[in-house]
Amino acid sequence: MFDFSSIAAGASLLMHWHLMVMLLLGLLFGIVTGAIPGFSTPLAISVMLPLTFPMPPLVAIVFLTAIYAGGNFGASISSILLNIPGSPQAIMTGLDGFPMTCKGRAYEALGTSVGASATGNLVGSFFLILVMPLIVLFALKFGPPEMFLVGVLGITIIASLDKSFLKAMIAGMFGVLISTTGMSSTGAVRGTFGHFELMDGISIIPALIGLIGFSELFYMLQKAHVTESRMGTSDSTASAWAQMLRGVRNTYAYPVALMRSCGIGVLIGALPGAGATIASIVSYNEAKRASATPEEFGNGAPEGLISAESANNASEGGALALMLALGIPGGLATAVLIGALMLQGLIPGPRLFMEQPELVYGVMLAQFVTSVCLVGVGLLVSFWAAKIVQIPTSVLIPIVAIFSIAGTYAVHLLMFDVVLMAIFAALGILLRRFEYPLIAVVLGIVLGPILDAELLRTYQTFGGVNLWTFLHRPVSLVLLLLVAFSLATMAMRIVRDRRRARDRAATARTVGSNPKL
Amino acid sequence: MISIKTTRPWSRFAGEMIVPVLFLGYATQYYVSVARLPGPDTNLLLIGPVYWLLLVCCVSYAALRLADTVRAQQSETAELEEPPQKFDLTKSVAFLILTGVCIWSIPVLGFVTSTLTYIFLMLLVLGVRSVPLLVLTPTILVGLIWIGMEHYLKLPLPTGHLI
Repeated sequence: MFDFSSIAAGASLLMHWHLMVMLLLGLLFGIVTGAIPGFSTPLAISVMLPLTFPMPPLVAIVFLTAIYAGGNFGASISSILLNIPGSPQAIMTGLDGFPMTCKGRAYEALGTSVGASATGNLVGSFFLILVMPLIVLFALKFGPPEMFLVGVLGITIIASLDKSFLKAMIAGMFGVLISTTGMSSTGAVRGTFGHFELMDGISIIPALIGLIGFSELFYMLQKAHVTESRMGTSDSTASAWAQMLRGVRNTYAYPVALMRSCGIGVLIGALPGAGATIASIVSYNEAKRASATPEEFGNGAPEGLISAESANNASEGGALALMLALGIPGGLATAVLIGALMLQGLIPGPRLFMEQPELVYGVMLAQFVTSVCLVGVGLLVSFWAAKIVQIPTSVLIPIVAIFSIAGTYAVHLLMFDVVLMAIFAALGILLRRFEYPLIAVVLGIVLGPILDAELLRTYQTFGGVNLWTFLHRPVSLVLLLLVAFSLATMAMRIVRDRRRARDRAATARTVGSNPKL
Repeated sequence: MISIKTTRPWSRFAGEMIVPVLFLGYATQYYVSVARLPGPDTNLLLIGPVYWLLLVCCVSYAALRLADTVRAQQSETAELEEPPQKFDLTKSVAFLILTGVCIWSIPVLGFVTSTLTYIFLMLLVLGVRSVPLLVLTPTILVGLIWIGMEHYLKLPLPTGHLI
């Protein structure tokens, strides 16, 4: 199964000092740009692509994959500290990360995020080397019906996002509807109002920054500082490091959730078109469903943060496996990486394994080194980044607003995206005012295009869509059972919560009517 | 500072209906426009079921809120789930107007001029009175973005028609 001589040759290529320097620089660049709202990982990789042309192939690929790993983690920093996800893959991170910051546990949350990201990356790398052929074979069994059901599995989380099931559903379904805007694969142009910029659909970055980021800034205006409590942000350097290290240790306090999330991340990462965002959504959903304390999720539960971060980082291993073994990009970031390989005169796929095995194993082994370095660089950047919450909001708000505008513009170099962000910001302010879960709209926008495209592909492949289409395929049958199980447990939880609320209200009425009690 | 939560049941009900009416209005317009396109069976494959689900959820929500409102009216006790949130109206309105004007002016005056002015005015509105902070924050910030994007990342920032 293993070609040990190639592995040894790949390992020897990693011994050069300049490779380590480029790896560290790539990580640093990825983390810093990942933390800037709007500066997505694919964008960070693509702006660095021309610089890699004069580099040797292994150095170039290791540099770019380090940016990839750094960006996946970096997006969590702004999500945790400001509730503004740097990239879509961090949307679930803010659900528990930001409440932790609000409680004065910013350093701990960042430490947990570093620990979960590095572990996710490490597990992803491990799978990349050990079971890559198996993962790829499994991923190839996923046709349109299976991909549709993966999207459905992700969307079932909407139902459990808010105290009000109906509000969450309204927000989520609206998100799915607007995500279908643009030209469909049948050539129909839907809901663009004549704007050619909407032909490719609603870009996720303006929607994300507007809905979550700008609306957060609006409500931040009412506070002097981001955190109500100063604990955890104004303490001494030693205390800050102690809290971050406690956060890292926290990661391993939930071994089952951690490993399950890593597994989900690797598998979903290996599915073409799925990627880190879907991995973190499905993983968070599963962690909440399996948790002994699901009510803590969304209120600063480290378990939620761990499940989201480890899955989105582990997905990198799966995506790289698919890219290296078959030359299929799992997402935008790996599509840019394929471009980088081609720039070096290398064609990813089975031939690359036969012709340049030491290079492939060198890239794989570099992922282990990246994971270890991520802990050090991640903690260092987090230590300085956490100081952002000490800045008064009167100075912080204009700074974040300008970075958000510049970041949104940078995605497609279009002012239309900035205007779209402003529209979503207005919608976000309105939804927050009436206590709708914004994350449900974002999930709808993220998952909607996958559901739409895969359902249409299923329809075209099988000449129609009915239950039998999903039942007669083994993988889709398993996924269908998972969806049914997920919905059933959710329904049971809603009923149980309502019963508890009714009991509490009855007890309160009894106590109120009898003051002696 | 103003309070943004009303204690009157019917006013509250009207407020609660803004989002469902807005969403349902847009969704209906979208559904009808897509249904008119050639090949509605494929175009509405996902949109159709999602629209009907949204409709059911909105109607159920409206019915539940209506029942709650009638109950609250009959018991003549306005239920307050949480204390009303205080809002600084000046800051909030200034933030919205300045951000809107900044986004509108970028294609006219260019990124640098618009954002320099925006940050300066925002700092003033939010209560910053330190002159070094008022001068240095916009200059350093816009300078960093300009150097980083234009020179380092080769991503051109928008230039205005006038400047």
